[in-house]
Amino acid sequence: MRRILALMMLGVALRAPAQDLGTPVEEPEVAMAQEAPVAPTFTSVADAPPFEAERLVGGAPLFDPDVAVHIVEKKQFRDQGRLELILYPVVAQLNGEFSQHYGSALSLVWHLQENFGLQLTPVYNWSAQTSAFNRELNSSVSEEAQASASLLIRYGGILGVEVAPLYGKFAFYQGLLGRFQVVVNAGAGIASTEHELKPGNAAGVATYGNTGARFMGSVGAGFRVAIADRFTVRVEARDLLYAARVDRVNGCSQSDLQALVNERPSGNPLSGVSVSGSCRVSSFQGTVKSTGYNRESDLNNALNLTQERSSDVLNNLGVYAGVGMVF
Amino acid sequence: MTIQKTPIFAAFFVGLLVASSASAAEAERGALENVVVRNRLHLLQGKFEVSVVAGLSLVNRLTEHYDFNLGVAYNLTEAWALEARGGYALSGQTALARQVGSSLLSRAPSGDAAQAVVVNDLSGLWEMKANGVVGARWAPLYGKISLLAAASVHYQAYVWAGLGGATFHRRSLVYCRAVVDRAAGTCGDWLSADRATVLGSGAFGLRFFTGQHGALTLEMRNYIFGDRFLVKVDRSVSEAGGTTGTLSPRPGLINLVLLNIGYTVIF
Repeated sequence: MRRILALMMLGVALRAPAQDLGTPVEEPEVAMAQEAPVAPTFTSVADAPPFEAERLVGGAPLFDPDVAVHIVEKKQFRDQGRLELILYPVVAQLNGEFSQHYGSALSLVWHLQENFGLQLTPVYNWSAQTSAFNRELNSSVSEEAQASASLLIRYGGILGVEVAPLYGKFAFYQGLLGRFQVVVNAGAGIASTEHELKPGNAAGVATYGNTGARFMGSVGAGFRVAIADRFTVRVEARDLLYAARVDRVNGCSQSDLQALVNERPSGNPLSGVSVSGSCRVSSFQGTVKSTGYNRESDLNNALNLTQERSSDVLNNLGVYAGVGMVF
Repeated sequence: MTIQKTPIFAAFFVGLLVASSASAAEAERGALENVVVRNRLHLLQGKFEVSVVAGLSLVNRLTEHYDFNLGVAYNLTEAWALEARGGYALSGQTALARQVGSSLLSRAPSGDAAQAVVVNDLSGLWEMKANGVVGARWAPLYGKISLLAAASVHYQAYVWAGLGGATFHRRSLVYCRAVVDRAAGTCGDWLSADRATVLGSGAFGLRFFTGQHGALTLEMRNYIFGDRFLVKVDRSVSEAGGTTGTLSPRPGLINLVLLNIGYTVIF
């Protein structure tokens, strides 16, 4: 009975400083640990082994072997109603089978509740190219992936939600405390895609054709480590899902590209070919300055892209490492 | 708190210091113990462990693996342990690899329409079979995690590094010694090889304690080993039963990344 009373007093004692801080959201949890080993009973004080640094805190006898008090402070800093701006300097694709992306991202999270927020994430891939594996297939055995399987994301944006169902803390040895949340997010958005038309080789740099905007879905999970009440460090994995189908290249449909390909042998300017209004014929004209590569050579590859019908959904699984500020 | 007035860039550089000050502030509020995570329920020093682990490869380009391991460990301290693991991986070529081989074979290397006569075999085709590693595990992070308002779970985070050996099997995708059906791309005798070699292994993971004598483990593990394959393979020679090709002068390394889940008994 005395120990029960002592635990109740401990709870009251812990509540007082928490309220002084003004920020904690929930009261500390005080629980009897079920896993605590059962201590031997002693007939007198003299029989008991000497406890090291036994203290009374709020009436609770700490270091008493038959009382294991553990505390998980639910939240030290409030998130509800605050905004969090996160910079992900490096976003690296992990599952680069036929494509390989490296980029950066920003994310703005509006924490509507402690464990729920709205999230807007723009992403820009400063390196998006076919993978080394795909190049090896091409160079070693003259094979390559179906063109649509190596569709690249240049930039995009996702609007979604973030849930933080798990909260925890960790200690680095005994001295450094970290508090973290496990975050899970999902959303949908738009991505601007492109495809390599000519691989980079001795004849010159790679050339790319814009394949238009694609609907994109996103699911992810990761860790959000709090540093003081204002900063966070995040490591997440996110999977971007998008359709592999290619309908247009540089705004030109299959019929546009076919008309341009048919006109090319005549030697007449391609600008005279009747194409749809969205078709940017100029993107297939002229030469690459550094190498003299004739852009008209991209026409056949572009036409092949639109002729390959695919219903595949591509996965771009990436690791997002970043730092955030809450305000 | 003065830290709230600190410029952003400076605050990021002193992030660790800030975290330390957080623990100090907690101590000032009347800490129960002078440790940042109190009352560790799971003490490991001097204890043995036996683990069963199953894993699958995460990036399956040309091969796929399902690995099953048994491990024995001894905890030298609360943070350091020595561990030996061994097992067998069920492995094979992916559908993509079979498709590549079949597609290449369907193109005749001789005759009027000869295509892809001299080719290089592909890297990353070794399939791991029996494997064993010995290494050290460092688990400096101990913590508690709670599911919303539910009960807390104690866990450790660790990194692992070690060396070992494994047996491997490899089947070529370009070196066919008996064409069965050219049009269908069916080969009756692909060149195969077996070998045993050393490998390195690194991992990081989490151990969630389920009680005083058990923990659930989630980890990412990488096995790294040397590749070896033929280049300049003349398919017309190989299909005629002759010997062709030379070993690649720079075969590189293979990284086999597995997602493992396991259970550890502690005693």
